[in-house]
Amino acid sequence: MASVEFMEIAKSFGQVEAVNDISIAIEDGEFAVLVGPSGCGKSTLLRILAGLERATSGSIRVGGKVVDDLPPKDRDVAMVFQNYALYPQKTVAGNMGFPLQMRGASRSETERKVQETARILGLEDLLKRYPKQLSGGQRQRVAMGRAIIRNPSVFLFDEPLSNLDAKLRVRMRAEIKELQQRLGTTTVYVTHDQIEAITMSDKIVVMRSGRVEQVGSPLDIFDSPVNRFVAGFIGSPAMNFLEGRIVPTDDGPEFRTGSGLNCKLPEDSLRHLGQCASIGIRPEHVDLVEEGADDAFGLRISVVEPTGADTMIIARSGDDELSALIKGRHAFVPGDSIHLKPLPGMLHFFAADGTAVQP
Amino acid sequence: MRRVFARRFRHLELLPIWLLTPAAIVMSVILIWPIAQGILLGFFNTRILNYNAGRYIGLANYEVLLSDPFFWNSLKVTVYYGIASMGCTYVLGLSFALLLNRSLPLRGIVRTIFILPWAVPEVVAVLIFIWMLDAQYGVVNYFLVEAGFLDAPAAWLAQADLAMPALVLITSWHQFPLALLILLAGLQTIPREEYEAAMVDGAGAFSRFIHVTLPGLRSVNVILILILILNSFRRVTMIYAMTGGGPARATETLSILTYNTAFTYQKIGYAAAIGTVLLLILLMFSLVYFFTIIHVRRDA
Repeated sequence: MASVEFMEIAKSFGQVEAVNDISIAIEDGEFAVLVGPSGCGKSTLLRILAGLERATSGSIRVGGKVVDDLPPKDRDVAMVFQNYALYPQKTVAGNMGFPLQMRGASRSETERKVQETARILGLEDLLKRYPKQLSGGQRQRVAMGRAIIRNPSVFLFDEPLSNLDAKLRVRMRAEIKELQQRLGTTTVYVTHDQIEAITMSDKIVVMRSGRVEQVGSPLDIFDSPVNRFVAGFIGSPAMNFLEGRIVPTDDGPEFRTGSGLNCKLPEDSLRHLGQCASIGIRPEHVDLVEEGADDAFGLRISVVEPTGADTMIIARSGDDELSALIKGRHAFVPGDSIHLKPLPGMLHFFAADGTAVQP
Repeated sequence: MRRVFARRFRHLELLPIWLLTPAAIVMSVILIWPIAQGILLGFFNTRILNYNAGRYIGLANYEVLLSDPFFWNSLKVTVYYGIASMGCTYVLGLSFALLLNRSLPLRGIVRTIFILPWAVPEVVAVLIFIWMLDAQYGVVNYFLVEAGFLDAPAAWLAQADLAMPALVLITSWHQFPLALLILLAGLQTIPREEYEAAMVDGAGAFSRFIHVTLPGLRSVNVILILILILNSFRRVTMIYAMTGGGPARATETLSILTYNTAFTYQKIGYAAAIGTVLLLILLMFSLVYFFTIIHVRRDA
């Protein structure tokens, strides 16, 4: 096991800058998730750590040791690829035993470890099969088996669940997390799926356009995003944003949008919020209230999506759109008017350049 | 309504057969008819100068053939030539395919240059090589003597033990572009991730070649090897132009023996019997080829 440190890593492919000046520290035993939209540089960063790409500048330490000049096999990392990259002409046992075989382990030791690893992953009955005879989930497990069998210092996962169907993805998510907790191995996991990021990680690194936007624990990032990008990217359904400004009134400060929605803010907040250009409200932080209630937004329902347990609605007023997750079942009809009130203390404020403004 | 559909359906079902008929007729006339004639001829003692005087002699030609040392020599030469030229062609093709599979500067031009030998007509290639291997003026002898590998120029095509290696050399030079193209196509189907996974798993360049590249080429290999062997069994032009089967029958493959027996010794009935044996051997390889392709398709 080992800590991982990225120090001012930059990588360009010709004119294109894939990652730029990235410094991240991942503790020993931590489950870190690199998350961001396609092309944000997260996979490149992982491949640099694996030794499959060379950084243009900067340095990486694994377990305190600089590994920049080491080939992948000497970095003591194991990687699970998006399309599993199993060896098609080898059996499951052959695939899992390969890393040991390459490190000169004896046949009996390889066999014993393959059995042991197969037991952990529930692959005992499949050892003689070939990859093409396996389902997606089983292939995924074999790829994981090939990674854990030699007990590396760091696991690397490159979007390992994106080729699985939705149901299997949820199950494998839990399996990977459980496995990591059991083995306690430092893990760097790349995904574009923010739900995977939140549910699995100890630490999330949100990336955009080759840069780190925010690093923190999942709840930290969920509760206090540093800018509108992070706020909108993390959390599902995504956060609502209303453009507008804060004006002082006799009853205290008030947020007003262009199309006339407004809501009251706590008395003492005006001083810090002078530069606020938009507010963010998570759909689950909205209450359904009666008509005429104080500080409620009056909107017209445009879409109703029952989820079984809750009801998701999208409502509009002029240019403003608000999605809200209302507890329980409701017989809303598109076109009806509805009154929604943001939960006090759950608002996020952003300046014109998108950075968060603390109340 | 249903009847109309049924009629149309029956019509559609027969359509492929109708479309294939002209080709089938042409094939029968130019392929199956001569082959049948050839097989039939093997049971006659026909000679080329008095073609119509041939008598039916049953399996007599085959009896002679089984005890004919020239036939057994040819069979041996054919197998030797087939395997040696296949091996050299394959190794050359694979080496250049591996080279071209990397990102080289000017890859397109290099690839075209490597494919050129294939475009040279066999006779022209042979003439060039005959000059290069010439005992007195040949550039090959010149360099080998200058470099100290040979004491005196060798008569490559006139010495029984050198003619076959020379023939294998020119065959591989002429045929390797075919191997190169097929193997390069095969290499490009191997996913990059497999190599990367192997790198992370601790495999060096040689291990990656053994554990990823070669297995990845398996289906391509089987087909390529069969094609190369089949081609060498059938080859006439190149061998005939180069050595005519000599010296002392050292390069007389079954195809050349058939040709010589028919047109030099004029025993066309006996030649037909040899040709039939060659046909059976080729048929055997073709069946292996056919079933391999079916197997490979099913695998994919």
